[in-house]
Order: sequence, then C-alpha cells, then structure tokens
Amino acid sequence: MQVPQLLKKLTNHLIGKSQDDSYNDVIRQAAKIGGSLFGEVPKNHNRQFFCLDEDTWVWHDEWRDEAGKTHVDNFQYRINGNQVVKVFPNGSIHHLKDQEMINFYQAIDLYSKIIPLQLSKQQQ
Amino acid sequence: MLTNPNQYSTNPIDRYLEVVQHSRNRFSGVIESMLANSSSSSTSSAGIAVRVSNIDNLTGLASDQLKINSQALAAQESGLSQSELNKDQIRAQLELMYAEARQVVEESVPLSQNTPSLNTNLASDVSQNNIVISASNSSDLEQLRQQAEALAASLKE
Repeated sequence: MQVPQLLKKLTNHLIGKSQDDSYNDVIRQAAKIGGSLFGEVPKNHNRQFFCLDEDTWVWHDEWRDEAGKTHVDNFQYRINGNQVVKVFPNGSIHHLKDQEMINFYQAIDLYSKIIPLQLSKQQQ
Repeated sequence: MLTNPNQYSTNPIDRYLEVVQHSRNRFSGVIESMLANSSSSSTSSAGIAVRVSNIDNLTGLASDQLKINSQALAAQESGLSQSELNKDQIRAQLELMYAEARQVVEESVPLSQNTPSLNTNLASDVSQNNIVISASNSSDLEQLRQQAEALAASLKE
C-alpha cells in the first residue's frame, strides 16, 4: 500500500470513518464527474449521473428557476428481464429504446472510462 | 447493494470501479441484444441496424488502431522509455477516442431523443502523461489515424 493511501486509511480510522462511508464518498465524487459527461452543467444545477450498483444507474438533476422554485429531475436506469427501463420516483416505468437507449449506452461506456482516470487523479 | 460484496476489493475506489465495470458489461449486453433484436424484427429499425453494423466495423477498426497508436504515442514520448509509459492510461485515452468515433457514427442517424446527449468535446479534454488526443469529428479522427500510421511505419523502418 502506498503512503498516501496508508495515511488516508489511518485518517479514516482515527475519525471513525467506516469502509462504507469511504465507499459512499467515492460514489459522490463519481456522481459529480458523471454529471459533467453531458456538457457544461448550467449554473444553479446540481447534476449527477452515476452507477449505484451493478443493476442501477442514477440520473439526478436539481436546479432553481428565476422565481426561486426548485425543480428535480430524478430517475434510475435498471435492467428488467432482457430490457433496460427507466424508473421514476413515483414508480412508473419507461422502456428505453432507439436514441435514448443509444445515449444511455454511450453514457455508461464513457463513464466507465472517465471515472477510473478522474478518481485516480483525485487519489494522487 | 452488491451482488456479492465479498468478490470485490476492499479499497473503496477499486471496489467501485469493479462494480462500474460489471454494471457496464451487464447493461451493454442487454442493450446490444436489444439493438440486434430490433434491427432484425422491424423495418422501422433499419436505422439502428445500420448503426450496429457501423459500430461493429468501427470496433474492428479501433482494435487495429489501438495497436498502431500505442506504438506511435510511445514514439512521440521521446524523453521516456517504453517501460516508463503508463500503458493503461494510454489505452484508456485511445478507447475514449474510439468511443467518440462511435458517437460520430451514431449521431449520423436522427432519432427521437429523450436523454441529454454526451459532451462530445469531453474526450478531447482528457490529458494524461502530456499526451492529448483531440478528435472532435470524423475528419480529425482520420487525420489522427493517418499520423499514427505514419509514425508506426517510421518505427518499422
């Protein structure tokens, strides 16, 4: 184990940070990077795109309009049988097809290449 | 949330990257299967069939290109020996270029769009080991390919 990793592990131990906490920190970092894959994130937007687990990817975009009203666009991509579906917070399901499916395919492909590079940069 | 947490690394970053890779492979498998089925079962999916065909062709092209470009990039790094180059990072960059090339192919077929499209310039912003690959369109890619082939040829001489 390299010195920076050892120090980080020791620091986490001293402040009582569990492995799960550290893992969630990694997801939070990745989510922010993932949100930037779709172009410049507009001001006042908190955009995230990330892999939650083997079966779930999450899109979250939250922003305030000029009137100060908060908007949230949130859904998950999951595998349902032999299809990929988009699941909304109210439980409704949308089957991915055509361009939307291609876009999602590209997004996870790029994510899986960008995230290792970016996370290793942050780790150094 | 993991299928089997015991099979993953204990380092949080490594563990997450393994999960991402597994997930990507699972989703890709399903999507590729869906694309293949839709292209053979419906005339309205002709555009997708063309795309799949193009992706397959490009995959073959990219494999060769990766080998050529690896040599070329190594040659460009005149101050470094081959052993000092981080091959994984170079490969990742080249794969990004391939991903972008694939996107160029896919964007050529207009279809309904409900999800934001990718930032096509992102891949060109990635810089590792002082090597920058810039390929924002197919002509750039072709130029890069030609440069790589020329360098590879010079290596053989």
